[in-house]
Amino acid sequence: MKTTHYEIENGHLSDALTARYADALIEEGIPNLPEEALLHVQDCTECKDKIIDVSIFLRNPDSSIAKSADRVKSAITDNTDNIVVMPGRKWDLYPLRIAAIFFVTAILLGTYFFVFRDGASFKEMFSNTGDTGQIKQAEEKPAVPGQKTSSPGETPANGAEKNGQQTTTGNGVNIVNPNLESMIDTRYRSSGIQIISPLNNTGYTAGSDIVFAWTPPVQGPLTLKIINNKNAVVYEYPLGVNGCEFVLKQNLPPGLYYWKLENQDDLLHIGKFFVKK
Amino acid sequence: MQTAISFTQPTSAGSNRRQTIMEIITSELYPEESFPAKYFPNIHTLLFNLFIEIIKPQDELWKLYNSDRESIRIKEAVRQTLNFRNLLKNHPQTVVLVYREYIKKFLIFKSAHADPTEREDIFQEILARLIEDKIYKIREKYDFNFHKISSFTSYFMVTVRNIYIDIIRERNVRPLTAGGVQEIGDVADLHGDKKMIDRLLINEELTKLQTILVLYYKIRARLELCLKFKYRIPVTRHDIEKCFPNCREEDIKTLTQDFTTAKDKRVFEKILSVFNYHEARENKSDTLRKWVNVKVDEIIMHLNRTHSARVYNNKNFADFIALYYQDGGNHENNAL
Repeated sequence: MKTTHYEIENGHLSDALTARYADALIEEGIPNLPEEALLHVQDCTECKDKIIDVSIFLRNPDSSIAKSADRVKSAITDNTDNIVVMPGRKWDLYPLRIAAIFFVTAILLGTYFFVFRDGASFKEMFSNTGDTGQIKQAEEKPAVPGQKTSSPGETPANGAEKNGQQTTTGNGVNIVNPNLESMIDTRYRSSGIQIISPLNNTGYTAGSDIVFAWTPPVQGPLTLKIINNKNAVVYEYPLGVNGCEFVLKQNLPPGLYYWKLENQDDLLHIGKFFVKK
Repeated sequence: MQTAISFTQPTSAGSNRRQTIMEIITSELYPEESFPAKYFPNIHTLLFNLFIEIIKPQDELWKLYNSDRESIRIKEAVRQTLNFRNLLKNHPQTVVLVYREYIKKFLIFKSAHADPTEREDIFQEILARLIEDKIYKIREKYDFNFHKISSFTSYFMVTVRNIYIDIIRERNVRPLTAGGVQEIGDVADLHGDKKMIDRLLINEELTKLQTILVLYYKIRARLELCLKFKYRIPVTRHDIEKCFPNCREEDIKTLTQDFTTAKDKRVFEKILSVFNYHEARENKSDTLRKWVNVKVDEIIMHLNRTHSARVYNNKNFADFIALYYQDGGNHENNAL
């Protein structure tokens, strides 16, 4: 059975009508086809594709030989350089988009490392230390070359000298120690004591006294340890029995310090304070 | 009907006859103007051989062919047997072979960068499907009473394209991957400088865009007007009148404002009232703006599908549109 010209099959133009449309585009200009067919193609991407393929191919079956997509792309780019381009249209957003992506990524990474992972916020670090300088990456090396600090395998107590003697010097930086930071509030909640002083993040001037006080008095013997931000014990004091206060006449170098209150069996509290110049 | 095609050496008596037959084939039935050798290579030899195969079993014709006598009957037999309508009717497989080169070129058109082996594979598959089945459907459906011979080519190529798409879908591959292809740069060395080649490439692309825009039929004027607004291409009174034949002076004034530095949102807010008035709608400016964006995506998709790799994106399409309207948007190598 012969088809009529203008048949639509399965919701699309018939092959005969598609061919007719393609012919019309090549030879007649505005296709002299039924309104129904023209309106269908207007809204049908599939039929459009088919007609485009056939009409473009038949217009010049050789045209596509040896044509590379990159070559076409560069031809367009090169030849638009001479066009008077409207401001805004030529504005290249891609570098800005990429820069924006990098910026956002950096912010997110920074937030992750400094707030979530280390457990301290920017606000805490800057408001309590008085250090307006940039935050440095924590390094497990002496502040002064050649000076001893605890090695990674060494326990804090191993590196400490007993009875109030300074075991290592403060490193002078204010970088939080992730391990100790994560312990701060946990221990406080479970020990049942309330710390009166020093409250976390309190800043002290170098050479000033630091009062360690808590309530209620805890059954001893107790030990107070001062630890620098590299987890090295700087001072260690036995407090005797039923202690609830201790005044440290310190001469700590500026920096971030943690303090631990321990009895024989448990860690009762971990807090932190800063020593400023 | 199966037709075996093989080369047949004419007898010495038939040499002159061969010449006569070839002349009818080349000048009457399949002239170079309609069947150029570059698209229909060896068509004349192919048809001559077919004719010989057909008359061989027919004693009377075969004797006539081998005699020295002038034979009107042989000439009539050639015309009768080998005219395109009868060729399709009685020897459809030969028609497929006649169009071999077209099919090959179409495959290059669709997948210029495909692996040649893969392309050859698809070519063979298309031939097989045509010969086994599709050409008979073409024969059944194609109506010579309404179509010129060139339309048969279109009809045939629509079928070829359908088969090609079927094969690609069945294999679930894009045959556009690596493969040796002669870069146009090499061709350029032979024919001209980079500028000229660029121009040729761009002209071809502009014609494609023009073809695509024509397919938008009734909404073409609206689409082109909106494209101009989107890409800040100056709009003329003619553009506006094409879209809104009954436009008022105030509409022209509104639409020909300088939107050069305005943001898209602002542009479409400003022009919306004119569109709503003439289309009797109450659209929001965002509706119009999004409509244009959808159409832009569509056009980019259609353009990219004519390439073996993605050529157009939103950025270079803006450049391309600027090129298109650089000379008033008239890229009519044909009557588009």
